[in-house]
Amino acid sequence: MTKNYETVMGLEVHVELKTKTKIFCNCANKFGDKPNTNTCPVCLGLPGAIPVLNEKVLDLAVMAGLATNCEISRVGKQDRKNYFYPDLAKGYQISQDENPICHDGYLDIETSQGEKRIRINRMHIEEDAGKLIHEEGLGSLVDNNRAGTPLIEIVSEPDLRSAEEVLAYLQKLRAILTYTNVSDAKMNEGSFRCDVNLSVREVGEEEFGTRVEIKNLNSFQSIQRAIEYETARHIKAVESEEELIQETRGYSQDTRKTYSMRSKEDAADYRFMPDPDLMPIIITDDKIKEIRKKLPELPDARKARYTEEYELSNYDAEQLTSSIEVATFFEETVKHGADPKAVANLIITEIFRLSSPEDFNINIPPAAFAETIKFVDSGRINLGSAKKIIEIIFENPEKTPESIIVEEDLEQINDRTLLVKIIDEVILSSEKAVNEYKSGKEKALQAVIGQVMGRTKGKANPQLTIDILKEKLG
Amino acid sequence: MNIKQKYLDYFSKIEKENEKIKAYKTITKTEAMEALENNKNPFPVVFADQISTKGIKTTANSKMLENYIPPFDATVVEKVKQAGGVILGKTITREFGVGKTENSYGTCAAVAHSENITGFSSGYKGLMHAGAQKNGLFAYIPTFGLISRYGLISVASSLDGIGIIAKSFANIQNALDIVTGKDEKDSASHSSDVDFSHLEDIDLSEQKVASINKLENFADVEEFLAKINVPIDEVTIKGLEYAMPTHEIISSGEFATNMEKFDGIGFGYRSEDYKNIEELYKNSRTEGLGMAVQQKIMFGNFVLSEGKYEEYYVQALKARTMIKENLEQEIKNYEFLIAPINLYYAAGFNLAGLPSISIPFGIEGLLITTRAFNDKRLLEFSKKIVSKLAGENSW
Repeated sequence: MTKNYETVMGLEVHVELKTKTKIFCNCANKFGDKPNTNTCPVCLGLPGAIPVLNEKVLDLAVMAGLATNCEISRVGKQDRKNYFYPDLAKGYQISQDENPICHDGYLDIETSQGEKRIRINRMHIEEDAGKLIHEEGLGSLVDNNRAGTPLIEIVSEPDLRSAEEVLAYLQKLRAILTYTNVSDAKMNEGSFRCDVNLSVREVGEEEFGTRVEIKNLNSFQSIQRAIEYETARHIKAVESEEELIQETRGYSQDTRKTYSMRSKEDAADYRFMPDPDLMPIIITDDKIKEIRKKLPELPDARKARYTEEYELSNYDAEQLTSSIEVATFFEETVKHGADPKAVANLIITEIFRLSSPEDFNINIPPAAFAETIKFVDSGRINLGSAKKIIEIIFENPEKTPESIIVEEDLEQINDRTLLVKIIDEVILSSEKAVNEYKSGKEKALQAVIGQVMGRTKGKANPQLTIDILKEKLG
Repeated sequence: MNIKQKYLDYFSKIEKENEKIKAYKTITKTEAMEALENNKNPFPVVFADQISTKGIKTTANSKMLENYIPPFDATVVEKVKQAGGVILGKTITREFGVGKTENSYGTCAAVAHSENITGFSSGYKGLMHAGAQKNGLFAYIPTFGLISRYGLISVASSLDGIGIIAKSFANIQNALDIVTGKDEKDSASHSSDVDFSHLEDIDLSEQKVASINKLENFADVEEFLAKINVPIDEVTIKGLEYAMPTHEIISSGEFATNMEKFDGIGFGYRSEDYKNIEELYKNSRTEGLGMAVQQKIMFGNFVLSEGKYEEYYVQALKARTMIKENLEQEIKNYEFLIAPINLYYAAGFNLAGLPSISIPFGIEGLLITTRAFNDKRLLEFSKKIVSKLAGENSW
């Protein structure tokens, strides 16, 4: 008899904060510059250079904490995490061991199973390390531009039970961080990174199974695949009574498998100690009040507003509010006079297809998007053509819906006489499908419609086509 | 006398005798002569080779940094240069402030060697007081935070602070006016609007003073103070006997992590003998750092390691707080605490971040401390004693 297993997961999410300067020096906090141009004695760890905490980092961390229902610590300290790695100039990372800035928060997520609350254990500030670049012939080189980039690490409780929940949690977290302007939270640029702690146990069992930490997860797809792979590996091991070891595993996009990186026994002793260069962190009640005032409308509130104001479904509203870029795009489009439901549908089907979920680059102006939708409403083009227009503008932002309609000859055929003529021809040449439909097979009509669309290069008015067909075929 | 000639004379004397006095690691004659150009207020200074000087080798007297030239000035160097300071050279220190050296007190030796030189060195553990006493100099370590640490190659960041060494009291006052104050680059630094060059005359008999001495050989100093009407009570600082081991544990822990940056990657000595990254780290550090430095790193990593951290480091932090509180308690009762110049006391004051001054007379010398940021009063009290010592009653 097969047993029922559940996957138990907790996440560690590293988020780069959107500050002008780095966490401990005045160097620019910028992605993509020439290597080692945004550096100084402090972030290069030169002898004698001392870090000074950028106050803006605290503000953003408190903002993130308040937005995720966390308690905010009034007194904090920063600790050194000691280890040798070539991208770590000082030989230690300044992080927080005890007394994180924020703790004991939660997020509510929505999945196909309904709503669920995921608890957040803690959120602390720390600095990012540099980056190693491996150059053929030159060996490994260090780029310290990223060294000293401010991060928050958000650690959840082990409340997650499926890849779907994990992705929903990450989407919600990402949404909150972009809404509050705490971070760009772009997975592909590394400003939003996730490690998954995973174990498997029988349903009903209270003890946790052997835990592994999965790293190198660069996309939502990788996260999903890694979770599925690891879950299967754990279940197989448990069933065959093989021993699982507590370890850190990496995920390879190429093999779509996880692999062992280091076991718990090999784990470094980080020798945490309070950083004596830095002073204790004090957060006053006034400071918290001041930041709370700056909190914008958060995803959950916006979602509720969308269901009410625009009468969208829970699911659609959740999707649209999943990032500030999308939500803003939605509202802008509606402002241009397009029907909210039509806008929602087209965003969820087309915009989500054209831009990756890790990085919502919406390469179409809201005005053009609204215009396209209005053309569908007025019957000038059909939905298929609308999708084509959106796709073309994504590639060629200088084009307008109007110019594309002309260039691509997308005007909808609304001329009844012309359509009747074409449909008559199709009925004659599609005897089989026509007969099937007549004998009660509703689906066969689709094949006939397809033929009509084919002959009109997709320009036939779909509703009119169906109406005529139904008249003709009884 | 021509100013340039005066400095040329400094250098000819230094160049002739440095081998004997073992004071200078680097003599910066060219830079000094340049610094005299358009300099309205030149005054000679030396910096311990643990203090970063832009464009001038800063080695911490270690093979690890034998070719290291900082691209920036320590804040204290920057301020001194702006005020007209002319750097004669970088003075010999213990390796990274703790290791083997040809002279533990190179800065003191340089200051003692010629007239009117002001020396800047690490106030770590109050070690400079012993060097000053040996060389007949004044050493002043201000309250922790009064002088920026930025650019000082750390032994232990919470115990580092720059101290001043001089033959004359006036030079200490001048130096303090120049180098104290808030520095945006060091969050431990404090703003200061104290004018150190104008000290009040005080009546010694009205001061509240207690001796915390427990050692022999302090009677001569106490007798002199009694003679000049300083009223002295005796108190015991509870827990001060733990100052040395506490200092050793905390400083070693901080030192071990401060030293992690010397890994042969970004700067400093890199071994030629390595096959992988582990060997690069290991061989660079083994070859680049002296044995005493390595031992302190090992001990520091031991006290920070899992399982030992609570047992040693956390205990030491608690002991530090206790010593600090006990000292502060007595400083509330008595404004000044006096003791012979000895690490037993100096290490305690260093742990508590209190200011201290050493006055070189008698067998063991006189070490005085006061409450934090009461530096000006400490100087007034000391200066009066010094003037009595010199037989001057001109105030």
